[in-house]
Amino acid sequence: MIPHDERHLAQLEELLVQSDEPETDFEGSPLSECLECREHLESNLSLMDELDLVGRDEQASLAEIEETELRAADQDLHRASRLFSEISAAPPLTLQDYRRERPRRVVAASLVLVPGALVLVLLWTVLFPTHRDPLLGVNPPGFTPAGHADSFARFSWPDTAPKGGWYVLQVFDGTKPGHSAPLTERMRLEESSWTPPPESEHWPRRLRWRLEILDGSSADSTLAWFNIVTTLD
Amino acid sequence: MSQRPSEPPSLEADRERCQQDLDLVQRALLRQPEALGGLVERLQCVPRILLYKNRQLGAPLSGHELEDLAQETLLAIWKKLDRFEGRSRLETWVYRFCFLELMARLRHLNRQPTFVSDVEPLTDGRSARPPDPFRFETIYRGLEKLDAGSASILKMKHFEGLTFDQIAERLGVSSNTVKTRYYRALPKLRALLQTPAGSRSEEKSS
Repeated sequence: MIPHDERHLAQLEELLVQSDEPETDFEGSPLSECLECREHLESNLSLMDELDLVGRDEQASLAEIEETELRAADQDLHRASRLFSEISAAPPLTLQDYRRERPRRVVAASLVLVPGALVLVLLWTVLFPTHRDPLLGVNPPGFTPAGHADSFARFSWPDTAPKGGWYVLQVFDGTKPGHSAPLTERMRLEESSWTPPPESEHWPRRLRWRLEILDGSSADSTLAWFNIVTTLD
Repeated sequence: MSQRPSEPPSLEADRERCQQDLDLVQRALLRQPEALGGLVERLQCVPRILLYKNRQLGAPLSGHELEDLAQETLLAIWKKLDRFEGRSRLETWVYRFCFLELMARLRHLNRQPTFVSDVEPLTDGRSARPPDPFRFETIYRGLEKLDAGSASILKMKHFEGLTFDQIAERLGVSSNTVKTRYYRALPKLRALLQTPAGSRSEEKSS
């Protein structure tokens, strides 16, 4: 046996990358005399087997599910799909629906008040011009950076997750539309702050970040979420 | 039961189908009626997945419990649909979602499943551990916490059965780059699997 050396892991990685038969090639290399390297390789191989097992089970299950028909006794499960169908397909209220659901006098009052409010807003805009972005002023308190910020060096928020809960943080390009891919995301933060990586220097000057609070009972235990808009001054 | 197909579908066709699924989801999120209809039809797989996995685990949930779970899972999928990135087929993404929801429900109800996988562990002496659904769950959750690039390579290798060369072709990098990323991802995942938050299987087996 030889003692473990700092360079061994790099050598082992090189061996694995270059080899088509890692186990055989490892046995023929001097690293096979290092106990720590052997353990490292064996735990890698063991994890590869586990991943393979999960993957094969997933593929076999998906193939089997494709062939699975619901039996008569299982037809209740279809109700779930029907319910989902109704919820997801529910269209936004039309003016006719609105009229059915609201007293006519409310609609009549709105017809007067809404244009009036629009005129006031227009007048205000003309009399007191401003270049401030309205979204920057509506962020909840305690969230940093929010609104006009000096830097994006550190993100923090009120520590409101319950015991065992965590936060999911996503940072988006604030100049792009809502469903664009995030610049970065952290799927599990247990602290109420986060320091971005150095590449954040290249982020755009306007960001939108989304914080989700989970209670920890499952991956879908969202308690609340917040969207924050911020821009560098 | 069928095992992994010996010939994976062509990379181009596979990528195209994933892109079509992403397109369907994005249009459904915009509530385009045709896309919503298509999505609802595709999500018929949710009850089937839950039913199949529940049977595979020894039917720890009753019919009513499964019906409730199917409803909640569909709503949860709808809420998180904007996270679908088209890295896999919609059914594959939904399958993982359903499996994790089912396992979370079993833990919540303190039910112990009996795993009856038709997939045999490899018999080379390393995988003496019998299949454990909570370990499967831990691995899925570990992959969720892993950085997207590493997780993607591990999934392509083990879940899609691609070779290093095929992964390299899909990512547009060299095979050695893929191998380097792959062998660096394994210890990162192993470290995540050893963290207490993801170690339900260890709790169960102890």
